[in-house]
This record gives sequence, structure tokens and C-alpha cells, in this order.
Amino acid sequence: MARLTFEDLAGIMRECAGADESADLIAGMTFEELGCDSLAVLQIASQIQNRYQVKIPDEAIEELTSPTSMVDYVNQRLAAA
Amino acid sequence: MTAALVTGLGVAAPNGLGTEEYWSATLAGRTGIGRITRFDPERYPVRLAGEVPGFAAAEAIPGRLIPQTDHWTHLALAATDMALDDAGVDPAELPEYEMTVVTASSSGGTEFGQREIERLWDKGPGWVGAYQSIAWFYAATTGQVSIRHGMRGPCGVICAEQAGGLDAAAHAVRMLRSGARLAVTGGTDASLCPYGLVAQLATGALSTSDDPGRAYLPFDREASGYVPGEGGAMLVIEPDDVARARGVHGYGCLAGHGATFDPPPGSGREPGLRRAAEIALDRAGLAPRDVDVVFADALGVPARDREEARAIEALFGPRAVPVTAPKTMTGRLYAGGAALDMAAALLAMRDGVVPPTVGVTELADGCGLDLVREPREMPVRAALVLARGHGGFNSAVALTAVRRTQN
Amino acid sequence: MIDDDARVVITGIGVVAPGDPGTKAFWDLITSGRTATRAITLFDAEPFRSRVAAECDFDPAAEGLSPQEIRRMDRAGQFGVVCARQALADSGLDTGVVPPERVAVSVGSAVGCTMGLEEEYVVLSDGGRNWLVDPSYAVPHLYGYMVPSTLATEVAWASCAEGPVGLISTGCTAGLDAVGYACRLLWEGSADVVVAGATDAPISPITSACFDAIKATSPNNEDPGHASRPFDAERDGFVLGEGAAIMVLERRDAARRRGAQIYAEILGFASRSNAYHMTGLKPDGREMAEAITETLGQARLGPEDIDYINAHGSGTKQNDRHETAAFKRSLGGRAYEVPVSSIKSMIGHSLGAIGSIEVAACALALHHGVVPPTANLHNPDPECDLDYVPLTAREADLDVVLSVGSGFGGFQSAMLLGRAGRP
Repeated sequence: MARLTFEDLAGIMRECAGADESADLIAGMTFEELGCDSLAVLQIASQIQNRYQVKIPDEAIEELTSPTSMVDYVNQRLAAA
Repeated sequence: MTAALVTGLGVAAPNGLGTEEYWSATLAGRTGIGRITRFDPERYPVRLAGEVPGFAAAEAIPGRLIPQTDHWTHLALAATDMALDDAGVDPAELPEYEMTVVTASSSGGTEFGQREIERLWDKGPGWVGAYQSIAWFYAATTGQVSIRHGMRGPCGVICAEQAGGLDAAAHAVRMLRSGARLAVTGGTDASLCPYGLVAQLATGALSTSDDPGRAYLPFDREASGYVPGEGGAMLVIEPDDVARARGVHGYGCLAGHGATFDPPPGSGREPGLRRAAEIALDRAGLAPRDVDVVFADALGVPARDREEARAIEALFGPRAVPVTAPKTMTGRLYAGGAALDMAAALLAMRDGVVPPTVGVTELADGCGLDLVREPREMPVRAALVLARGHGGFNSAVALTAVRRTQN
Repeated sequence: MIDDDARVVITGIGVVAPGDPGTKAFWDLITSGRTATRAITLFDAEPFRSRVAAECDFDPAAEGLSPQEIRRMDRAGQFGVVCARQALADSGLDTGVVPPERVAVSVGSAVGCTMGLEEEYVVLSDGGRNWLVDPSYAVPHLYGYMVPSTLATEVAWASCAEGPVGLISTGCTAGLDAVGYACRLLWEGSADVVVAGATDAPISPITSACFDAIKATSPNNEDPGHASRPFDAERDGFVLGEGAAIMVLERRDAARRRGAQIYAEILGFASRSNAYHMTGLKPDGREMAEAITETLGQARLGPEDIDYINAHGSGTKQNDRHETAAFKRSLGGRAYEVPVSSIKSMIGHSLGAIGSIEVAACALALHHGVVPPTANLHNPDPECDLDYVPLTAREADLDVVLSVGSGFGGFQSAMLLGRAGRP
């Protein structure tokens, strides 16, 4: 079954936000600290929804303030599916 | 009244990325027109265009701006950096509300927009990205330049197709008159994606030639339309007293501007170009005999070339002023075109040489101009830049090497 | 500071706004407190997050456009030309008498002919299937859709204008900025008459999708008539609108000489950029406040002189707080006394057009002595603690009114208008 890894997310962030940080680094930081503004987070979330066929509702996106919370949330949804 | 001095230039042109690269290519008569590489143009009747060579956004602008902006804005951000660097100003040291950005825009983020609209129609609304809302619209460049450099004064975006670059510059001068101490103006364009090209085909004004040396021949007997291009130029302007106080002499002054609109199609009346030129000269306090060179709009469509030649002759007399069109080496750059012509005119003043029009071999009947076809060394103290925009727009800007006061 | 002999007045108004077209229908709607927001009918919005919009019940043929004009112009162009003709007729100006080279045009638009561009794209790409779109299906005026300046061209033709003509495209402040640009042309003497305003027709799949993607528009699809709720605690985004307003601007002396009806005077215009974020707003409202303060300076007036504020009031969480902060910052205690309202509660947010529609609303408010209300305002956001004129219009003796706009790119604009006949 598909899972979102930190490597996957780092790749998506590179593409969506021009944020060129490694998977190890993003695990311990917030999107804001990584220079991803609200539009960048929406863009990242939208890419994940389309690629992984997982729905992230509006209310959830507001809570997903870090790569770690994003990875956890998406993988929970994928596991539940 | 203070004069508006151009103190910095930044050029991203099909025949040179960087001001000096562009200028040396232009004086050498090196064209930037070639087969389109941004997509496969094989199926289209127009396969030539001017593309900016060697532009790598990742090297030219901050990485975070790349995914959120179109190629058009990438080029403008890079050219703005060059222009500010050339002017020797650090915006962080200037009062934030006294800096403004006024750019021309013509077709917005065309390539970005085509990608997003394709996702919408092919896959559905959820596939349209968050950046479409800020990348495609016509104000994207002005907004991004303002943000990047902390310029919080009154900003603007003016659209008048190819004439817009001059109108934007004139508006930037207005901003200096009402208190700004620095304005970034100019424009770029990048409409070379399939939908962008197909939209341009609809005018019937594009050349279908496959020979880069013969495709765009304004005023020539074999004129067959123009070649589109991407890129443009950004200019930094300052009140001359402000610039002088910091020991900067600049390239020349934006001394006068005139804008007119053509009578409706079919009226049979004279188009508005001559009148725009007269207004620009009048505001610059110049007589036609003071003008050393005219940078022509040079559409390359025979009837429109004759109209322009008539306007120039009516104003200056027969073969009385050197006329040139270095855009024969770049193609028409729409929002970037007139800004690039201003840059060329200012460089001509700096170096005392008029850049050539390439490719033209035999002037068409009714186009009896003194068309400069080899670089011509001569002092350039005043230049007139002409521009016409699709739909009836005419603009003219008079540039002067010495300080002249606009009335 | 504006020279006395350069003072600019509005002598003609043409409006096509959501609901029925025409200036009178517009004024009746925005003073009634009714709303023109509804479920989208212009396209099939079923797969979209926000399916609400404020649409114009606009029939181009009934509005006098010829078959050729209808074919040539996209919806934004049609709105603009209908409004220009109405405004010129309303002004009583004889375009045969004014030399065409002294007539200028300044049209604002945020998204230009995007509706025409999208419709043609769908055909040329065969429904989005082909990146290499097929030129054999292109309409002859396709390039006119790609360049927004076409909207200015069409208005210029409708106005017999041969002076300076321009399209101002500063996103959602374009409508205010276009009227401001027109004032500059009159102040500096580049024209004697300016046909000025703005038009946008953004209720289309691509524009809806791009606002869906950033969750800027209201998802209140269950109750479309109450979806636009500026300053309300329950507000959840703006509602897309469409329309145009075009006005005839002249110098006051000339208008008086020809005995023209004067709706209002434009006392000042200023703009600033926040240089902060393309869509985000700084909570302090500093740049909008700066623009307001500068317009007051141009008019030699103070905060106590303002009798009404036509707010941007888009109904997004951040905008309404930003703007409230800007009013407090620039006007001090006066911010708590002066009525503030958002007509977007009734006619939605038509992007670039709305700024001009709001200038027209201000001119009409001065003319009729009525303050339009903010509809749907039942539970004010505690952080929006000014007098937003909830639900019901008020009669008021108005002398000076302020209109503000805020848009993507960080642009903030402010215009001050005064009652006709001010000394």
C-alpha cells in the first residue's frame, strides 16, 4: 500500500515550494521554519491529495503545520482507507 | 521640475541575457531569432521566435519564487536585479514608501496558465494549483518585484500590448513627480507556449518564414509580418537631483511621453502615431530637428510599415532622421518590447552608436526612410522611441542625454 | 494637492452589476439590503468547492449590442461597452463636440478576457487533452482575448476616444486604480474627458478553480443568498461576482460650464503596496492606512470630515480584520463613529471591476444621501468592532466619503469623493 515518506514529502516540497531541504532536516521543523507560506502548504497538500488519492479536508490543513504532522496524517488516512 | 533619470538597466533579450551581452550582440548584428524550443512548433505555421538564451531561473532568482511564478515573471525578477545592481542602489536603505514598481503587462503568465487550465479540463478542479491565483494574472510581476525589494509606494500595471512599456515608464515618471525617489519600470513577456502562439496566429500578422534572417523585415519590400519573442528590459529611474546627489550620472532622461489612440477601423483618418510623437517631443521641449534617431515600432506588416514611415516623414521630413529597429534581432516582445527599445536608445547615447536593423535589403515603396542597417557611430543626444499596440494604441517617448525639463 | 482648476467630477455613470443590469437596478438593489448571490448558473459548478456567485442577468442583445459586437467581445468586453454607452448618454456629453484627441479611456480589469480565453482553449485543446492546441479551430479575435488591453480598445471605440487609452491591471484594486489613473490624466491636462471604470467577468471554471485552490471563496453552497458575510463572525470567504461600472470624468469647471449633472467630485486618490505577500495581509493595515492618510492630505481634509466609508469588505477572515485595523490606524477615534459598509455582501466580489462599481456606489450615495448597508451581518466578529451599517440602508447627509480596495500583489488603494457643489 502507498505511504508518504519524508523523502517523498521533501521531493514534493522541492517541486511545490522550491524548498531544497533533505528528508532528515524537514522531519524536525515546521513548514513556516522551512520557508513554506500558506500558499505553499496548500500547494503541497493539493499535490499529496492528487498523487495519493487521499482527501485532506479544509479544517485538517490548518492543523498540519509541519512535515511530520503532514506525514502522520496522510499515512493514517491511507491506512484507514 | 525634476527630470527622470534612468540610472539602471537590466536586459533579458533573445540575443543576449544581460545588458552588455544584449548590446554587444545587437551592435554585431547577431540575431536571437531561431526555431522555437520551448515546445515542438512543427505543426504550426509559425516556427520561429526569439527565446532568451541560457536563462536558468534557479541561478537567477530565489528558489522559492520559481514554482509560484511564470517564466515571464522570472525574466522580470532577474532583469530587475540587474537594473538595481547597475544603478548601484540597495532598496533596503531607501524609504519604503518612496519606491514604486510600474510594469507593462501584455498576456500575463501564459505558459503557467495553459498548464493549469489543462489540468482543470483534463483532470478536474482539484488539480489546479494554489499558485495559479498569483502567477497568471497581469499584476504578478509588479507584485513580486514590489515584495522582493520592499517597495511599498504606489505600484502600477499598464496594458497596451506593445505600447504598454512606454506608458508604464511615463506613469513611473508621474510617481517620481509625486514624491517617489526611485521607480522600477519596464516589462517582460513570455507568451511562447502552444496556446500563446496560437492566439498570436489569429492576428495574421506573424511571419510564417522559416529563415531566421528573412522572417522579420520591417520596411522591406519582402516584409511578411513579424516574429514573436520573449524577454524585455527593466529600468531604474530616479529624480536627477537625487541621483546626482549620490554621484550617479545615469544613461539619460525620460524627457517626454505622448499616448494616443487610433481612429476606429475604417474611418480613413490618419492613425495616431504621429500625434503621439509630437506630444512626446513637445513635452520634452524638443523640436524634430533635435532628434538624432528614431527607434521605430517596425511591425513588419507592409501597410502598417507604410503608415509608420508616413508618420516619421510627416514629422521629420523625407529621410531627415536615422531610423532603426534592433527588434529585428529579438522579435517583438510585447510588454517587453518598448522597454527594450528604451534600453537600446539609452545605450546608443552612452556609446555614441546607433544599433542596426538587420535583414532589410530593399526598402518597400512608401518606406523611404534613412534606415540604419549597419551600426552608425554618431553622437546621440536625443532619441524618440515609438510603439504601437494591437487594437489601436500609440505611444512615444523622447529620451535625452542631457537634462531637459518636461513642461 | 490638487489645483482648484483641475478638480475632477463624475458626470455620467453606467453600471452592469449582479442582478438586473443598469444603474438604477444596481442602486435599488444595494440600498434594499437584498442579495444577488446565488448558485452558479453560468457553468456546471458541481465539482467545485465553491458553487456560489453573484451573476448579472445580462442579455447583450437586449442591452443594444449588435450581433458582431456580441461575437467579437467576451463577456467582460460586453459589460464594459454597455456601461460606457450608458455613462456617456447619462453625462449628456456630445461626443461630436469634444475633440476625440481630448477624450481618454482608463479601464481596469483583473483577469481581462479570461472567459473568452477559457472557452476557446477548451475547443482548441479538445477539452484539455492536447498541450499542442489545434489552431484550425481558432476564432479570428482570439488574440484579442489574450491581451486584456482589448477591453480598453472596445471602450475607446464606444467612446470615440483618440487620446491616451490604457488598461490598468492591478488585480483587485484595478477598478479604483483605473479611476485614479483617469484623475491623473485630467489633473495633468492630458485629456478633457476620461471614460473610466472597470470590468471583469470571472465566473468561469478556471477562475473558480484557482480561488478554490487557495480556499478564498465561500463554500456556503447550502445558503447561497447569505454566503457573502463581510464582518460577520461566521464569514467564510468571498463570493465571486461580475460586472462593470464606467463613468465619465471631467474637470469641474468644464462640467459646470456645460451645465452638466454632477454626481460627485473626486477629492483624492492614493495607493500603497504592502510588499509583504502576494495574498497575505499584515494584520496592522499599515499600507492601507497610509493610502487613506495621503488622500486626506490631497483633499486638505481630516478624519472628522469623512461621513461614510465604502469598505473593501470582501468577507475573508483576514481582509475584514486588516481593513478594520487600517481604519482605526488612519482615522483614530473617528473610525468608531463613521458608518462603514460593504456592498460585496449583496453583489459579491467582481475582482478588478468592483473598485469602479464601488466608486459608482459612493457617487450615488453622495447624490441620493443614502448609505448602503452591509447585508447578512447578524453576528459581528468581535475583532470587527465598527459601525458596519448592518442589514438596512440609512439616510444621511453625506459630504465626503471614502472608498478603499485591497488586492493580490499587496496593493492597497484609497479614493476620497465629495458631494457635488462643495466649495
